[in-house]
Amino acid sequence: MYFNRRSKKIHSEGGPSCSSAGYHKADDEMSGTTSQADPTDATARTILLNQPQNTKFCDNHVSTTKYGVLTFLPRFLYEQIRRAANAFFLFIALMQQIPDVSPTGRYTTLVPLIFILTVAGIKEIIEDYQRHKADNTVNKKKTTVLRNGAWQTVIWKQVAVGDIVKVTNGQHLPADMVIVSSSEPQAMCYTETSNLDGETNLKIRQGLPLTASLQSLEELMGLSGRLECEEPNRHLYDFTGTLYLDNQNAVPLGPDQVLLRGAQLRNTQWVVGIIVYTGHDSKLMQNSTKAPLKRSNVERVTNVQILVLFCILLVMALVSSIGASIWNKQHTEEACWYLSRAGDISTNFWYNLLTFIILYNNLIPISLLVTLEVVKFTQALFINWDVEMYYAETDTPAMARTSNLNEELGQVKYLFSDKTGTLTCNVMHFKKCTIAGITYGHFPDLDVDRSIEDFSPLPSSSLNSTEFDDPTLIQNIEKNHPTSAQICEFLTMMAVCHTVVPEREEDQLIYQASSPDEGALVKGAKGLGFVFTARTPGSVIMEARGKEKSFELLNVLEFSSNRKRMSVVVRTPDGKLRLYCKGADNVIFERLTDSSQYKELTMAHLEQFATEGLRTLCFTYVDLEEGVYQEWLKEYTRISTIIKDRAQKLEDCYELLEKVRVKTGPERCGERTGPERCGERTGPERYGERTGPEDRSRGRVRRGVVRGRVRRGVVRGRVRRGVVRRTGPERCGERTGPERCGERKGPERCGERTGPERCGEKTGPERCGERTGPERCGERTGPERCGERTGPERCGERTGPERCGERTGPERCACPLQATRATLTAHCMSLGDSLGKENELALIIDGQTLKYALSFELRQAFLDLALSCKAVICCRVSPLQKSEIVDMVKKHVKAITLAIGDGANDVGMIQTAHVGVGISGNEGMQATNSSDYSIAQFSYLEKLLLVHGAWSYNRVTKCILYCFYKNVVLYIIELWFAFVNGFSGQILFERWCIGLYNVIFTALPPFTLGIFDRPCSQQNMLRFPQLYSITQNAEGFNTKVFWGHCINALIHSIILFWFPLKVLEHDSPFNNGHGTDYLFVGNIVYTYVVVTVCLKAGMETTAWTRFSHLAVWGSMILWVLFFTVYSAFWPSIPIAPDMQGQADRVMHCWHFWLGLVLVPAACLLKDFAWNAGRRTVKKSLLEEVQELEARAVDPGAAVLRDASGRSLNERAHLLTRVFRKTPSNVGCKNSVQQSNVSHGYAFSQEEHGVVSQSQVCRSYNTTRQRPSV
Amino acid sequence: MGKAKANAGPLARRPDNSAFKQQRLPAWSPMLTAQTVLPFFYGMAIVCVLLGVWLLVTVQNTHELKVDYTHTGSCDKCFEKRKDRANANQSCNCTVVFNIENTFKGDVFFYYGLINFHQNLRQYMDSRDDGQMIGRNKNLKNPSSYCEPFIKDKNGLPIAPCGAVANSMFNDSFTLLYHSAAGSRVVPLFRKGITWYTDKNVKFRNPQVENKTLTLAQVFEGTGQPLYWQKPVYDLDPWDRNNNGFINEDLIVWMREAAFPNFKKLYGVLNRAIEPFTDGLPAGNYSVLISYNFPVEYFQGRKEVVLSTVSWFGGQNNFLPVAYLVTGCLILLLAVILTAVWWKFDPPVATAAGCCEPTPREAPPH
Repeated sequence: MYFNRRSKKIHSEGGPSCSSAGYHKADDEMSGTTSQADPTDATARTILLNQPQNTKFCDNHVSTTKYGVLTFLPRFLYEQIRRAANAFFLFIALMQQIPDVSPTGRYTTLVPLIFILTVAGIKEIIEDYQRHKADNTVNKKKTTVLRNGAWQTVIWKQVAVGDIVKVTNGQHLPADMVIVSSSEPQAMCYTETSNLDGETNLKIRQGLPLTASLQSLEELMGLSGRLECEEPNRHLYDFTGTLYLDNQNAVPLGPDQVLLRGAQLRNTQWVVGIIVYTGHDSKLMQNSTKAPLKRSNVERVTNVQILVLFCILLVMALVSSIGASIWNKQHTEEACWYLSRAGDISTNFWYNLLTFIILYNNLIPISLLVTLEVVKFTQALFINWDVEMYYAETDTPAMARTSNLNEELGQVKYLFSDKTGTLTCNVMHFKKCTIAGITYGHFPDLDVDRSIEDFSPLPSSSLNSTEFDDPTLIQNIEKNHPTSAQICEFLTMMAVCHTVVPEREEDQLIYQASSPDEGALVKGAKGLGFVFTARTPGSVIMEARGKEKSFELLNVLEFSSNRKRMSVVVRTPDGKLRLYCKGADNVIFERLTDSSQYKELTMAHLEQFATEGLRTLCFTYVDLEEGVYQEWLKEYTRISTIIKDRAQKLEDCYELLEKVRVKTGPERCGERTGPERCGERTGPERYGERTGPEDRSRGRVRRGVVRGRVRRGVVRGRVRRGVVRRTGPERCGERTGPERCGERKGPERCGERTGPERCGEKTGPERCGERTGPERCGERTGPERCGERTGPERCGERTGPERCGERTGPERCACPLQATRATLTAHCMSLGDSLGKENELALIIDGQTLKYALSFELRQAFLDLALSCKAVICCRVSPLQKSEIVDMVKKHVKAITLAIGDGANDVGMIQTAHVGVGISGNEGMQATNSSDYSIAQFSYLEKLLLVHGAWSYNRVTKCILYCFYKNVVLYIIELWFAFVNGFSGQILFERWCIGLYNVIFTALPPFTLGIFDRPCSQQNMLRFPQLYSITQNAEGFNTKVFWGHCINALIHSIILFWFPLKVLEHDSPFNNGHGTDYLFVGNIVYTYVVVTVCLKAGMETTAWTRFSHLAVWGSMILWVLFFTVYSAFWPSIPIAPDMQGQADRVMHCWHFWLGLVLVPAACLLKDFAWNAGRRTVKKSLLEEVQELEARAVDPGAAVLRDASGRSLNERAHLLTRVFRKTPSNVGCKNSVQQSNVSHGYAFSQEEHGVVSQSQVCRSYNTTRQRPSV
Repeated sequence: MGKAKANAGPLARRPDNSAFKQQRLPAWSPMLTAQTVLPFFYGMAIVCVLLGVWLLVTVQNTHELKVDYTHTGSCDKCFEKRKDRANANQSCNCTVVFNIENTFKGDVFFYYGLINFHQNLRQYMDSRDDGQMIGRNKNLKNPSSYCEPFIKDKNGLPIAPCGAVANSMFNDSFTLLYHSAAGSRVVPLFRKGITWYTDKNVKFRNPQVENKTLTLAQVFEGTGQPLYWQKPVYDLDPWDRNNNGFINEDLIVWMREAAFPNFKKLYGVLNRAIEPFTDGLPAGNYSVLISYNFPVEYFQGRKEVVLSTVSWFGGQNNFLPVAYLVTGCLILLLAVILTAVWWKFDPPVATAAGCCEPTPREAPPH
């Protein structure tokens, strides 16, 4: 555990917009490298107090921008030219400068290139400007500094090393500083370091006792001496320094005395400190490194295709050059008397090659890169703008931190999810309890189908159940129900047994809990009239139903994840000595006497709560005998002073008393209290619903419900803070296409359903709840439980829903490696033929075993087994292992992986996976800042993948294919023309028309395809996750499709050239007998090309928005306008003399108009017929949905219908389940009873902190006023 | 973190719920199904076929006559003569006779055609100076380097018009004779009005001089004539003073470079004001008197004279109507196939009803 936490801390976080610590960092930490600073640096920095500094330190200005004003141009150009395509065009542009080589003039590549670079540059400037702005906000934040004998407010930027700074509650720390004193006792203060390490619990830091009293202005000004500390480094949890105050002994400073930039001061009125590291020297900034640049699969494929096109280009140039050689041989100088070949280099083969490369260079779409960049940028904006992915509670919209990977989101096959936090949000509310055999608390049944059909906003009251809402509890107390004493005891316990510190703020009690669980309980008790009001060093004061009671706090037996419980020893107001204990059920049950009442009943209720997805925890208490306690106290005092293994010994000591308790008062304990259970429910989704503004739509509510279910399902899986991960959803449709999807009913169903696996399950959102849930059982019956006890060798495998809960059993073996191997082999064997296929299996493995399973020799076997399972759950794994697994899957399976997580320990896998998604939740910014996409809620992943991912993929691929298509169409025509012009390199079109083809006349359609196209509506994308498998399997973009487009383009270009050739070779297209010239032909062909290509874009468009119309018709109009104007340039504007009068003549030519009807029609009708035919013969699912959508018919049936035979059965089966309103727990009942149930309970509390929890409670006296400066 | 949340409302970062930002813009989704495409196909096929038939009829009413005179008849000797470059300055005249069986009704256009003459070679096409042709004095005496090597004559004078295109200007001239019972008479041809309006008036201008009294010859003083020309540019048309210099229409026509190696260029238009040509060219015997200058033997080229009438959409061109007919038939064929396919795979009755009834069988409880 320690190891785990440690590694979590190592990752630390960057500033507002700087990215995270790199994964490799975790790596070296994990591999055991100590994070100790280099000893030689230890005293490298000397800071003088209250004097000017001798050395110059880095100032507190931070900059996370890529460019400066001056560095922009060189850096930007360098970045751009590094890209192969841009370098190619630059090369072409340079080659064009050689006289007589270029058939298209000197600037026809340079100008578009500059134009395109300008667009890219503007995009960069916008992005960098936002970073500048973010930096500025940070740099301009205000803080208070002691200057010139007074507190002055300065901006962060001006804070310097050696300054004495005062920070007040809620503020962020402007720089790393050493605590001098604080408003709290003994210079304590709380910080929240979620920006740094992602942990939301409050951390206690404490100043030196030496300086704790220096609180007034005068005292602080009188401070003199020096402070020595190590050079800046990036180790968040290390600090060595020494404080030399004048006339005092040197005092060592450690990490406990340091507050770090980026942390937030909490629960502390103010703190005064000396700045030691500023700006980029601060640990926060030292930890910010750039996230590794990820490239999407589509981009890689595109690059290959560009390369292929380049080869084609070379071949074309070569063919043309050879053609030129042959032509030149046949047409000697003598023959071409009308030329003058003397001294002409045009007969040189290499010269011709270069000419043709320049001529055909645009076969590679010059605008592709910038088009894609803009398209993806806009897609990212759409993600950011999505109001359905905006979480009002924390005011967090979704954020695409990179736009490179948008289309990758549409291809995810393997999903890796962190469980704790990611799925649960760590927001807790007291929901239910069972006291003396009676359950209280109404947990609104979210399975109710009202959410399906109800379009109207839900009555908020029905969902406003963040509070415990069962009046019977109170009534029972008031009406002196037989159990009313127990109820009171229970509530008292809730209000007393904790380490929460209350704070009064204008008559409002605010509980500062370092663990959300405790906070929830105390708040719960408060809601029921047992209000915890104040804490003094020796007592806890509470108001029980109006009466103030004071409990003398004798001991706090601290929580640790080992003990899984915490207790307090108090003297009750009536003088009894009592021990209250709360903890995980198994721990508590172990300690109960056999004769305890309600044990069975409570156990049953516990099951029920767990089934509902509540996180559970038990309370118990015992009255201690004075003598026994005194004896224990003696022992305790002795132990708490020993040096060696104190923590361990203390735990043993606690155990002693807690045991004592059971021994001494068995009857009473059992009799009187029994274990009481309180259900806690996590789930901010309720928030969403409660505060959700009026615009709640059906979809939202439904998803909210799904979310609820998801969470409930998973909460249960939250077995002892293990990380459950699944490579579950993966295969969905991988092999057999969409129909597969419907079939899956794997364990992952319930747990985490996100895109890919949703695919599997979803034919209705509420599926989850109704699932009879093998997974539930799975997670609960837990081999992992088992593992916990028996060690690494268990590798439980569960077969299918029917056998839920059955385990093939943990093996126990002396040698874990052998055992792991044996287990793996056995399972692989038992799978037999189905190995490597998807089975209805879940593999559960814990971190220890994983260590062996990932070893080189077992890796393949493990992978085989894992890939044969529908879901793989790995519990208790280290961050390194997480990323190892991701890496393994990534390397061995050619599929896109996605990792999602919210904590610092997920950074590794987030960065390793193809796509990393961070949840910007309560656990801070760590995961978010290293992710590619951040969302506020896990459930938003559904929309991110199913809608944005699938759409983006669709759009990007369409855009790319279209760009290739249009360029091939135009530039292959040049090749055809070469056949009639003796391979001389003459172009058919006017040179600027060619140059502007990509940047003006056909620039818009790719944008609309890339930005606005949508195959079907959002609702249907969400409702039919089967549609996701289309993009998932890259059906829209692969080599076949690419070549299909190229060949289609080739055919089009033949038609487009050959037709005007035949029509115009008679040279009398006018009724006045006038002749034409080459450019006349060229302009006609060009117009046909623009029209055809634009219409083709229209054909590709599945949803014609107004922008599509603008792009398609607009582009044509644009060309016509340009043509008209351009034909009148000469001679006023000295370019394009050949164009003079062309437009007029072309428009007067009937051949042109007749061809304008015929040529695009001939090109496109073929495509039309092909599409229509294919549609009629075999409709794809997407097309079917589209059609029904167009007809405004609910496409649900189509999705059902599309499969046949067995799968129809399956799906129908699933569907019936959806509509059967089964209480969620029924299906699982059996397994519940048969399984060895365990329920997770964990505080997320800082263990072994600087200041122990008991110290914390003891140092407070909230009844008195705090000192203030 | 540095997010300034304090000064903003609780929902400050909430994205706009606008149709654009939420990607809910109204859109029209065309469905390329057989049902929607078929009517269009049939319509298109019918339109194409009808148009094709109409065009075909129109084209049938036009006439075209091509007379290859490369080395036919008396031109044979000229052909032999032009083989030797030394004879370039000797004139050679020959006659070709032909017969028109049906009257060429309407306007008749007289073209000369060249076969296998590549006006579309890059080196050739670039070899011209449009700045000179527009009459810029600077360019007149100092032509663009694109004209190399036809930029200076042997005396070192700048050539006007410079470049390979102008240099290789077609210099045969024709006289068409009509031999009727009443005797032979010259068929009157307009030698003007054969260029694009913009060419004659915008693109080609003689050098502008302040002194309007100067003759064209004086204007062009200091320039040499193109190497292969027999006359200077200001003396191209001995009959019409205003048709000389850069605005000479034959020159302008030539300067419009043809796209393909086989091309024809307009030489003259029948003057229908004079009897008996008011209706066009009457049937009968004709001969063309050719001043044979242009050598084609070197590049295996051929020369021809083309007489043609035009319809509303231009000269005789069977390709367009045929293309329409063929395309129309193809579309019809496609449409028929599609219909067949549609009937086979997606009978119209089933689509309406079939889709809307989900048939989930009750699943066996497991």
